[in-house]
Parts: sequence; C-alpha cells; structure tokens
Amino acid sequence: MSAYWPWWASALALSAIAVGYVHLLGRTMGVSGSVARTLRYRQELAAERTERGFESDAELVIALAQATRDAFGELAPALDATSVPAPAGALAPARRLPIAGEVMFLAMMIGGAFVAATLRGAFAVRLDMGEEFARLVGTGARGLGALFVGGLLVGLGTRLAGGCTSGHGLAGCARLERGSLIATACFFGTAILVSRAMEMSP
Amino acid sequence: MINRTALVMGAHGFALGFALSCIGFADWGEVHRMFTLVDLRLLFTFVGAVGLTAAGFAIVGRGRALGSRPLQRGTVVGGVLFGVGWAISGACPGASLVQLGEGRVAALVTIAGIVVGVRLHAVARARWLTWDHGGCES
Repeated sequence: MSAYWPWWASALALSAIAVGYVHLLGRTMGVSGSVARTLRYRQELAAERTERGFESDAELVIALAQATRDAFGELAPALDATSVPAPAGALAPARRLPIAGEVMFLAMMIGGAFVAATLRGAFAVRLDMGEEFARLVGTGARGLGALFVGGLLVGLGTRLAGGCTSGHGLAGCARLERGSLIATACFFGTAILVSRAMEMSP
Repeated sequence: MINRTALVMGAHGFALGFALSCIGFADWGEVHRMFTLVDLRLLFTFVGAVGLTAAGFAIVGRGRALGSRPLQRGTVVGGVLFGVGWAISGACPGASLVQLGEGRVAALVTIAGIVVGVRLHAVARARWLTWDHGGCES
C-alpha cells in the first residue's frame, strides 16, 4: 500500500541525521527552535554582531570585569587571561548557531523534500492534502481554515513546550530529558485522542 | 556570510527534508493512520529512531555532554496544543516545510498559521514574563 520507506530504514535515517547534527554542530536539532530563531532574526543578528567583537568567551569575561571596575571602582576584582576560569563539559553554554545556518537548514528542508518527491515521481503542485483530509476535515475554505488554525496551535504549542517532534520527540527523548518526555507524551497522546475523535464524528 | 557551519546545517536540513518525505511523515493520511493506530509503521519509525539516536549519542558521547534544559512551565499546555494542531493539520513544523517541497501549496496556509502562533507566543512572553519560561534561551 505504501511506497514509503520501511520503519527500520526510516528510523536509521532519522537517527543518523539527529546524531550527525549534534556531533558536528554541538547542539541538538530542533525544527521549531530554528523557525523561532529565524522569525526573530533581527535580535539574533544584533546578538551575533555583539559577540563578533570578542575573540573568545574569556575575552568577553575580561571586558565585562573591566566595565564593572569602571563603573564601581577598585572594589571589583581585576581579571586577566590567566584568572578567567574556563567553562568546560556540562557547564559550557550550548553553542549559538549562526542565524544564516538556521535559514539554510529550513530552506534546504524544502529543497530535500522537493528532490525526494521528484525522484520517486510524487512531486505535483496541488491544493489538496489528500482524500482522508478532505473526508475528515473538509475541502475548500473549511480545509484551509482548519490548516491555519492547526498551524497556529502547532506554532504556539511548540514554543510553549519549548520544542517539537525533532527537538523534544527525537533528540530530547533520546537523552531522557524530563521536559521532553512529558512534552512528547502530551502531544502524542493528545493527537491520538483528537484523531480518534475525528474518526467518530460524522 | 555563508560559513562552514551554515553549510553543515544546510546539509542536515536537506537530508532531513529528503528523509521525512520518503518516510511519509508529511502525508496527512499516513500521519492520521499513525495516530489512529491503524498503521504502526510511523510509530515504529519514531520509537526506533529515538532508540537509535540514544545509542548514537552514547557512542559519539556529545549528546549527553550538552547539559539538560530547565523544565519549561508551558510544557504540558504547549504539548497538548501542539497535539491538537498536529492532528488537524497533519504537520509538525518540519513536516509543513516538507509538504511545501512536495508541491502541496496548501501547506503555505499551515506555515502562515505556525508563524502567527510563534509570534503570538513572543508577544505573550514579552507581556506576561512569567507565563512559560524558566530560562532566557528558547
């Protein structure tokens, strides 16, 4: 029935991408986080400009210490390169990825899907979302309205929860993060209940 | 402007979009059959991917060294809202982009909804600071 990849190949591909992302970039992959950062690109670019003025975290700490001394006098301790403790291991802050990279990440997702659909002959410009959607949700304006409301809940919900299927569901659950396990149970459980209710309603 | 990190991120985006399309994770009917438990392929995919990712993190070692994130106050409410939205639209944020790449133009409406939802959260957070957050990073 389905021309899609079997579950084991799908699982292998997704995990390879999630592990590669963390290994090469030093942060867990999360699509909703990338979307949110892209949408507030002005603040992110401003933050990048500020950070670019400093070669390293240590240099930033020294500059902050000097500014404190300038404002509050000699009571504040003077720091130099030898007295700045190096953050390491779990204490090191998660890396801030470049905003240009977030845009690339999202844009290339569209590109990757386009190539995949084209290669298996499934690419077609169309307005519908498939027959089940038409039957269970609706067509025309009703369908589009449902997509908008659904999208709004996805956007608001993922930000409130701090992640979506990739950030919480995949990367977070794989690390047994408490918040991710709770969030994933909530969104999967709710989606199962709502989908069953859709089947029952006439 | 486009540095090596951005290229690596672009490559991962391409691979993720490619894979999600081939998996059928952006197909409304497939996702619906996962939620109604009629077809367990996508559910096995998800559980298998979490297990393999955990194994990968253990081998590579870097996944665990990142430190854990504080529990956000909106975790339960946000998760429930996301679940409702996902069941209706058939799209998590990643899948909406994949639908668009496959030529499903209606996904633009879903994406518009997601943008409004994210903006709404940003406005709400700025106005009622205590609403959801434990940290300063999202």
